[in-house]
Amino acid sequence: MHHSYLDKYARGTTAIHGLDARVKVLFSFAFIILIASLRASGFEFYLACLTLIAVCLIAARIPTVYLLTRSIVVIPFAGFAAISYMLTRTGGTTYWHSGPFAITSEGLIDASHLLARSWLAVSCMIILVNTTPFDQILKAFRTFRLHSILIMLLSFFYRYLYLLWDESERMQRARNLRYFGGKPEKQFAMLGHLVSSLFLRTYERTERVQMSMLSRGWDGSAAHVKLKPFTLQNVLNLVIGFSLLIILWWISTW
Amino acid sequence: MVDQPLIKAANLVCEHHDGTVALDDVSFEVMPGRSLAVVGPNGAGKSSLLTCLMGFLKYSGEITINGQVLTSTSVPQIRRVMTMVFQDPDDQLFMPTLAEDVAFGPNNLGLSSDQVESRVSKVLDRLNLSELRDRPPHHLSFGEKRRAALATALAMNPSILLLDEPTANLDPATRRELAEYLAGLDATLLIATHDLEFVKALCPRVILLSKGRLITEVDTSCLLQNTALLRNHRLA
Ligand SMILES: Nc1ncnc2c1ncn2[C@@H]1O[C@H](COP(=O)(O)OP(=O)(O)OP(=O)(O)O)[C@@H](O)[C@H]1O
Ligand SMILES: [Mg+2]
Repeated sequence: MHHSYLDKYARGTTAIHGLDARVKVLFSFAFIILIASLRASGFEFYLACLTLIAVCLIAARIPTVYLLTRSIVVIPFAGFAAISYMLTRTGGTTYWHSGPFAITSEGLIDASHLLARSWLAVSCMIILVNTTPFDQILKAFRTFRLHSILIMLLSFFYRYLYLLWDESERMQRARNLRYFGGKPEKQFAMLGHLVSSLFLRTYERTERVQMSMLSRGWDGSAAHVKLKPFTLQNVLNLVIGFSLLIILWWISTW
Repeated sequence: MVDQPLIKAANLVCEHHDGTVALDDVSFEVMPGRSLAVVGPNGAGKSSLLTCLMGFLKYSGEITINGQVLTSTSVPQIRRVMTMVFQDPDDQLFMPTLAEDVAFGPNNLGLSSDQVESRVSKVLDRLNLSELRDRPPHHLSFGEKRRAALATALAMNPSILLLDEPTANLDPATRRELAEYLAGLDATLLIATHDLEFVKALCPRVILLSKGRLITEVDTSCLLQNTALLRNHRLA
């Protein structure tokens, strides 16, 4: 996996890239809180959100396909929750039922809301990390007094995600070299071994990478990343951003 | 005034997390400007010795670096003057691009961005890596990674540099250039290696480890002539 799998466009030069990291972080989180907190919202609301996302993509020159392929990750997580919603909600027309499970019109609506909102939230995050270098996002978190352990965890996650992937590629290659098919139950057991040693190996590698960071004077503070002073222009941008969110909220009450 | 040793290890016993004892009662000194080689068969404890000196392993005994006793409080200070290149370059490189990886150390030293950039360009240039500066380091060839790992350490301008198998997987010309380059540095080196030619070019003294114990400390020329000793410890 490429290092920049998740943030290939972070170092662009568009106007959106040029916005202050703190402004973007605040706006993104406010946007996510807004979509998560609205219970019922109509088609117009989603259309408005989609428009906002599309405008950001175009302005930041991020290809739509890139966003779509990266946002697929929500499907296993949100999909699971959506299916359980769909099978357990009651109300409206019942299309099918069996024992405690039923598919109803209410359930379907709830499930699609959940999917749509999860996708919007993930897309917003993808746009944030693709318009702001990761160390600046972390620095912004720091100015908002997010706990340093949490920041450290985030920075490690970002650095080690690709290690996990690389390590798994290496192990699969090593296995395929000496593997010529076998009974399913054997394959299953082998998969178990593979996964457990993958985590162990990645863990040990992260430990050694941390040694390398420490031996080059790292103390977790990212002291060299400096954000510019918070200017009036930034305040203005924030006001514009939050006005947009208020309009979105207003649309959701239609 | 008599120079004090840059590195002093006294009765060093050191074990890994799982309890494997990697070094058993090892003592030696490295004087300023007198680079030292650490040789010995596979599993002798060479890598463990270097990681231990960097303060990454549990140990008993005493380690003094540049007059400072190695403790958990002095270790950040010590790592500003002494750094290490790991045996496996994949352990060393972790930033999205090579240039950023090389800049990582100087940034942590608190240099201005201009100073950082000039160090990065200089080091990359010296190691013939300038063309690769925007590539992700973990997608380089192994020999390139090895030079890249070295670049990340050299950019720290260390006065003590620990190198773990620096010549493994390098082509002969690169190896020769590396030796010339290291010889021209202002740093004192501690090199763990099997490459006796390389040792001859850079280090006047050698310590020989085997099974975690220090067998002998001698002049490099003496060791090279002692074929029996070399054979006994799988070095020839
Ligand atoms: N992470 C570890 N956990 C436990 N034991 C280890 C670990 N790394 C090395 N060892 C053990 O410590 C001993 C010394 O290993 P070390 O890697 O220091 O040898 P080395 O001299 O560098 O060998 P090589 O020439 O093969 O690089 C060996 O017995 C090895 O099995
Ligand atoms: Mg070793």
